[in-house]
Amino acid sequence: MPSDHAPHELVDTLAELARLELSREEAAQLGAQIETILGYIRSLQTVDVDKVPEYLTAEQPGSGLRPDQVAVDESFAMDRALAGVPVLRGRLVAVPKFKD
Amino acid sequence: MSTRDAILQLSARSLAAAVHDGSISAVDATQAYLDRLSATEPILHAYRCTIPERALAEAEAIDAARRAGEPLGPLAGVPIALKDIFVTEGVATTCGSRILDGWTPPYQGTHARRGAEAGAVLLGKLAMDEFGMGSSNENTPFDPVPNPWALDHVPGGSSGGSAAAVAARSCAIGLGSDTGGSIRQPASLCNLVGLKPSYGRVSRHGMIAFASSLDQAGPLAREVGDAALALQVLAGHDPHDATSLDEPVPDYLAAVDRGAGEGLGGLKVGVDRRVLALEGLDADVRERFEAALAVLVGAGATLCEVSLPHFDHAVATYYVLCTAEASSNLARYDGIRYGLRRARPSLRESYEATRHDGFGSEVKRRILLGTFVLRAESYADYYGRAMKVRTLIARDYAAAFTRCDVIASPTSPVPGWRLGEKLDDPLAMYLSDVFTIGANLAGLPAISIPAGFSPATELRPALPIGLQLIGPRLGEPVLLRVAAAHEAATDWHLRAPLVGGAG
Amino acid sequence: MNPGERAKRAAQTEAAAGGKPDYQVVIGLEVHCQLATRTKMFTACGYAIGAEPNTQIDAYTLGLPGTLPVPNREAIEFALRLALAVHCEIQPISRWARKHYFYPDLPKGYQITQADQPYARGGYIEISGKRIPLQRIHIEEDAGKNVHLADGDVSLIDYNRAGAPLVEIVSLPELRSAAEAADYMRELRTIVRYLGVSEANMEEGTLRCDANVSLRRPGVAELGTRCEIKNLNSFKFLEAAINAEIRRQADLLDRGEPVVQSTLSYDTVRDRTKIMRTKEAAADYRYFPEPDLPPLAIDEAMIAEARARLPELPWDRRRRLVELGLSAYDAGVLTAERELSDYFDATLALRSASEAKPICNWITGELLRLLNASNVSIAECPVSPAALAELLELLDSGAISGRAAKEVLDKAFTERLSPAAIVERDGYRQVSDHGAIATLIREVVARNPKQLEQLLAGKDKVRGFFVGQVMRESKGQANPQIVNEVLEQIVAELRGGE
Repeated sequence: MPSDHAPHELVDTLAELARLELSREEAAQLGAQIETILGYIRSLQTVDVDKVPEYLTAEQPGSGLRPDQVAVDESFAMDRALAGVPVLRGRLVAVPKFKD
Repeated sequence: MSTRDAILQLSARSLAAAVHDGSISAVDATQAYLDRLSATEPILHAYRCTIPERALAEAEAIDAARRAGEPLGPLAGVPIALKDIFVTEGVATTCGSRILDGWTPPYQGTHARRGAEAGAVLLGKLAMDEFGMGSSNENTPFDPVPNPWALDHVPGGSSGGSAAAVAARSCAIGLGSDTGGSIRQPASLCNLVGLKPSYGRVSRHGMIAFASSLDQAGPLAREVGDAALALQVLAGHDPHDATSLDEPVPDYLAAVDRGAGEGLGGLKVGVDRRVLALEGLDADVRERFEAALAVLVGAGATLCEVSLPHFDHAVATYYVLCTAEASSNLARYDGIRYGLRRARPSLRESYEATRHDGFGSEVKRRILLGTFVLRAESYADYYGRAMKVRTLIARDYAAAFTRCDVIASPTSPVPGWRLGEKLDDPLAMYLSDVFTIGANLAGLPAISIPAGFSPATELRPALPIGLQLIGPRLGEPVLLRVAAAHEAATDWHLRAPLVGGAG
Repeated sequence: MNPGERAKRAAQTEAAAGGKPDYQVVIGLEVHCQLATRTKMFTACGYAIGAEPNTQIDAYTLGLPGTLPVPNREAIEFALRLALAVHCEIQPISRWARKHYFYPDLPKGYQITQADQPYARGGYIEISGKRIPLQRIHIEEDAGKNVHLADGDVSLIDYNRAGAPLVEIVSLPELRSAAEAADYMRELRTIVRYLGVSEANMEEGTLRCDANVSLRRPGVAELGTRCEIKNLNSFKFLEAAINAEIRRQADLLDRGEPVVQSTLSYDTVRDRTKIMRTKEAAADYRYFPEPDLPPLAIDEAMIAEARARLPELPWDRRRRLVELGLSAYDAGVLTAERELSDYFDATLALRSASEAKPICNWITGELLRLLNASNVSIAECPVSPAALAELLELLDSGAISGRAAKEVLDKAFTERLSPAAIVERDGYRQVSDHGAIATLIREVVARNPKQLEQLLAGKDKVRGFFVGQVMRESKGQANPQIVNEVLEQIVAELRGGE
């Protein structure tokens, strides 16, 4: 299982995908650590997983469905939720302007 | 002994009984713990925030209810604290992270709600490794928490604050979360009982998600009975969590009493000896483990050999899956609707700067790893493969449980380490989860209980060492029974660390 | 659509493709349809169109830490109904998946959808006798809405819509023209509205369409590079946009240039598609199975229940109306809206099956004209089926004339009165009494001897003059048929008398 890029390039790609700004030092250090950890993780390649299904978490008899009723959560304080928004204009959540 | 000290000596179970029958008031109990908290906090900083006035008001309300003859809940008057991963309405919740610094939740999570309905008095929110990622409570923008037993050592993590507070008696029961061992390992390092229920036994609604298929909430306490009492309050179906089990909740205290009173005749304890050949297993941990097994045999259990053939792959599997799920669960922290926001001219920069400043390096590391394993080109080889190995691991345990009732192992390969010692080697830190991770991967219940101390030497002080028991799915009763039997035959749980004055 | 319309629109597509059918047009549609449930897909938060911003939100909608999804049973049932109506294979087990991308209107940084295991596969939608096969249908949650101000340095987000339940219907690329694509959309809209599972209104955004378009030379097996046109919010623009894109691709191919896989929008002013982004910027959504949700199990009982709740579907209804004697075209017009054919059925129930054609004509003629002129929907029509039936009774019984009936309907519509009331109030009642009419005729005959002579002499053209006179004398209230009958009798009398 080859590593796709030099550690540095890989980290830069991943950081962009994850919307994480990294300083040069951080990128270098994290890149090296990630390479080491991935090296360890690659040991999974040696396991025989032929015909083994992916794990299913809780075995549920049902699908966890709920009725289509508005459930008033008395503990939800809508105004306080909006008050916690970092930048609000009226009732709308504001972000730096972007294009669709 | 002062009244305050007498109160602090009581188990939560006894304290609740005393509040019920009026021999101790909820206010007195709360004040005793608040006083203790004031003495220990300057040293431990186990609390992220405290709410003493609100706590006393809650206590007064319980006393008033008792006087009015109203029914009281099973934890009435018992001072508890919640790991800061639990969402508490109106009380600051940071999840150990700067990205939520200043966030006051506008809704109440299930755990806080159930605790309040049971009459528990919330003292505050406890320190933790950021987003549950860590085994030492050092992954934090806030002050690290020392181990009350040895102040230059780590308390474990990620529920390090919970463990320190309970061990130091600045709360009677602490609620923690466990994704790869984060309740059990700090319990082991701090001489406590730490219980991770079966996956789905306790709701995850209101517990800030780290790895959705692995996370579970559970108690840290000084005694097995207290852990059982807390579980009784927390367990059960929650319509807000589609993965919570709709299974009846048995009488956990009855299981405890049975273990303490009747012994373990006929019960089989499984041990995978191959696992004990682990390089890096501390000699004192091995010694304490064998001693603990002997206690169980003395109580009537028989030992048998079990095999967990895929044990060696558990850590790798875990770090693929938990990082993948974490990278996904943490995508919502972007500074737009809540929490920290770094203002920047463009939207993209504002995302990147907010997440850069808001997340610590362990979190960043795991997000990047998780992003890698979920990429379309890597999926089959990493996430897809790890999910298959996980099935194999779960099958290993299921097969083992056809031959035994519980599986025993040490909780942690080492009894603890110095603050700062493992910070430069993330992989080494990950490998310290080797014994606890399997139960999370297989969705099984597991408990860590006090099993003694390493001897004090020139190189290090006496450090607590825990015994871990893993049970089959929904096997909390058998775990509690065995744990109670071990506790009845030992007195490790009666020891207290000397921090902030006599314990 | 009538045959003339159809031919015109097919020609437009051909014209778009270079005027000569050099290229085969390949179109596939991905349609998102918002389900009309009371609460959102994964949280019990209410939502409705047009509410004030950020009022239909809860902790889950905002993506607050610690919140978890719980699927809406009714949304599943609606989705099941749709899949059954379009003949899909329902999967007994399907999985939810997370689709990741960073965007302000996506609160969790991922959308819960279905990836490689959707709940429905296959199926088809029939348009004008051609079956357009479907690839799949899946269920997912909607994102919020972004508002971009012209000036200022911020964009604004309303999360009311975030979390609303959607079904995504993906067709195979078997549509061959913009006209077909629009027909497909229309039929799909009709179906979901018949089922009552969605408002399916393109202007309001409860029905959205992305079109994938590619060209290839006939005889070539490989598909050409496809481009996706997004944000189409009307049937008209859908058709125009696809034709514009066909032109664009045909131009490129004619010049020997490659078509680069792109996402485009449609400029309605310039009637051109323009590139928003190209494939290089395509996202890796890092799909993985949603760990917060168990697999979706759909058993025979659920399917049976959904099947039982299927109403008469448009094609069955069309067939029934044709059996009643309506033309296929008329049946199509009536069934385009479920409410319209419901209205027809209700009126027919009060009359007899033999009146299907006249009733249809009244509805598709006069009534639709009145509705369209005043921008009122059939559901809000001031003339109820019972009222229309009343009007028809008045007409049939001869109480009013055909021309009078039109006027009465008009007044009933605008003044919201019953036809009977209007007939009485404004004196539309015809005189049909033979005796009264005979008296009138005799008066007119007496006053016009010259014309009478001509009539008796066999000059039939003069008959109209007498009828006209009688109508005028009676202020239009004489029943013209009776006038003719009685005039005949009187003429016969007079002739016989000579």
